[in-house]
Amino acid sequence: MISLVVVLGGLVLLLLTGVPVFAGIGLTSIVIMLLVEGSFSGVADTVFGKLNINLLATIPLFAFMAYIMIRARIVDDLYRTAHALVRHLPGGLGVATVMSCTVFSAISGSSAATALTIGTSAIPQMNRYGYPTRAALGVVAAGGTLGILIPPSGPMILYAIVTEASIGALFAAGLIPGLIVATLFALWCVASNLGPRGAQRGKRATVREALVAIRASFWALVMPPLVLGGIYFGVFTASEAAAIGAILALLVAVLAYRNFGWKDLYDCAYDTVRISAMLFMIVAAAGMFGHAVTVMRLPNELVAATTGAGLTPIEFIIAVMLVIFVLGMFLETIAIILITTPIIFPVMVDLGISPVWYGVLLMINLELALITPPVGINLFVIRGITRAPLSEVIRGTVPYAVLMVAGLILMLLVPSISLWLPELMGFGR
Amino acid sequence: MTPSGPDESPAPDPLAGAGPVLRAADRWLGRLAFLLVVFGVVGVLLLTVLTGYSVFWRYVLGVPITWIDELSGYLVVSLVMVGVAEALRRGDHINVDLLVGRLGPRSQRLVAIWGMLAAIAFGIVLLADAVDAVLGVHAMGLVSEGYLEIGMWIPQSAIVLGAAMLIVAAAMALIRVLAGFPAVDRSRID
Repeated sequence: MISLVVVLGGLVLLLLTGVPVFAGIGLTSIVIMLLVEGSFSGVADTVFGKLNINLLATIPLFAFMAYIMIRARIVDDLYRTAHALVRHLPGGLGVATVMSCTVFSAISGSSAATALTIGTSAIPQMNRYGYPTRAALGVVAAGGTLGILIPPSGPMILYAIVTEASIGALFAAGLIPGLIVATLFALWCVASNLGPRGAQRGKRATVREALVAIRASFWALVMPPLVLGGIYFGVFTASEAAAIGAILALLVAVLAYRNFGWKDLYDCAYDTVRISAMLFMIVAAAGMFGHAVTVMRLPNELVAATTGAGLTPIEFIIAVMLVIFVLGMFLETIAIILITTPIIFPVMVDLGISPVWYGVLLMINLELALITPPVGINLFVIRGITRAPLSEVIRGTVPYAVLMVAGLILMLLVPSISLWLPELMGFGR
Repeated sequence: MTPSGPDESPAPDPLAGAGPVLRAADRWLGRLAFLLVVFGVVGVLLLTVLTGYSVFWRYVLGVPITWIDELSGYLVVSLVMVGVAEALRRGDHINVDLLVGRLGPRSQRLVAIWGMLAAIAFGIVLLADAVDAVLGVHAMGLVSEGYLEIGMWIPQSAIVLGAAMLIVAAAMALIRVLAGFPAVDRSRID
């Protein structure tokens, strides 16, 4: 256990000095390999092996699809559509924000992109109709975190690659917990706006108004079930679904929206290359880290320590969740997944913990990390959009952080919430 | 999976007032990184079209195309390696700025130097091992186990290219910082 603390502590300290995350993880791994094996031979093979995985193609393809949909403005009306449907409810503006974040999450797979895109349209509307500022900042920051849990989630794909868990099972497992967390958020928006001091409520939309609003966002609403349905029903693999999604998005942009030219196509592909390079360099370095901790026999030590301490699976998961919660205050979510999973995974297998269930718990915990200071990416995104004081954004997210903890405890106590759908679809555990 | 949004706004010249040698070196690195990114752009489009094509053949014509999965893996490796220098030049690579973000400009400069040195050290180790691996695989005449049966040194060479470009881009960023300029170029299009 001492070596585990030294390795993790050393790595976190190195990352806190501001080195690029891929270089920090990679150099730590190289030092371990030099100390344990006396050479770093095999580093290139490890990097090649970790990147030469067909499933990894899913991430750039989904990113490409999302870039096309954002650039062609296919998602621009999502907030207006949701608002038209629920504006008559107490806290309707907040509920609309949660709804549009949920749908956008199913398109982008990114929390920061969800917070940025929905926040840009939702926050001015909420300000205009007198929605309390702090609550407005909080709901967008928290709503954006749904991008991690609701499929197709980039972090979930990375977790699937590290654990070799079925990506279809993970996507299915994240759906119901994602909708439960979103519902909790929406209920809070309603409950906190009940009574005379609540935000201004709109007039209930007529059927015609509702249909017009839905029509405005038709393609944004249709794309997630089309793409994800293909994975759930076993029609496509995840990477095929992502490619079909990108092709559909392109067709919609060119034929329906008619606002997408060659330059837009180039820019979307260019942004995809940049984000893939950024993300996959961390994946490559994390592959080296996984190899390094294995040659150190760190996972074996952890298994022995866990067995020796007589920890039950639940106790082990609670301990891990607490560590990840603390790491989430300092590190970026992708780094947390790729650093901790190779160490923890052998213990999970030893204790008979379902990697799919753990994956869902991990994602909820990482959602929390996105709004937990001092390093909470969504806090910074919302601050960037609004120029509001960071303290105000943080206070706004407090109720949602509490709801996420409640959601995490619920998923921990009732694993079938996560595992029922993947089992129903025949993915198994 | 998408970042916080494209930075469309034109940035001021990051090397305003720099000497001609630094400007020329930076310009050439920019062109090289840009050229590689164009390959990456073609790679993204190819990945999309090939995967879609494979779905079409399997479901519509009932004939699975077996080599596309293998090629997709190689394309992913290439995408990363051709984009790594551009991502570094544009400041895309994530770092944890919790502590260093609070430092003054002088200390920030030291942090940038430290970060680039770390990237160079990582790149050197990766390059040395990748060259060794590619030469070894080439000498042994290893071919891929999939349907393509191509020499494995071909896709593995992407790691050599990426590591070399990483070193060059990080060294250029280091020189920029040492000369008193920002490490990262935020202007979007070369």
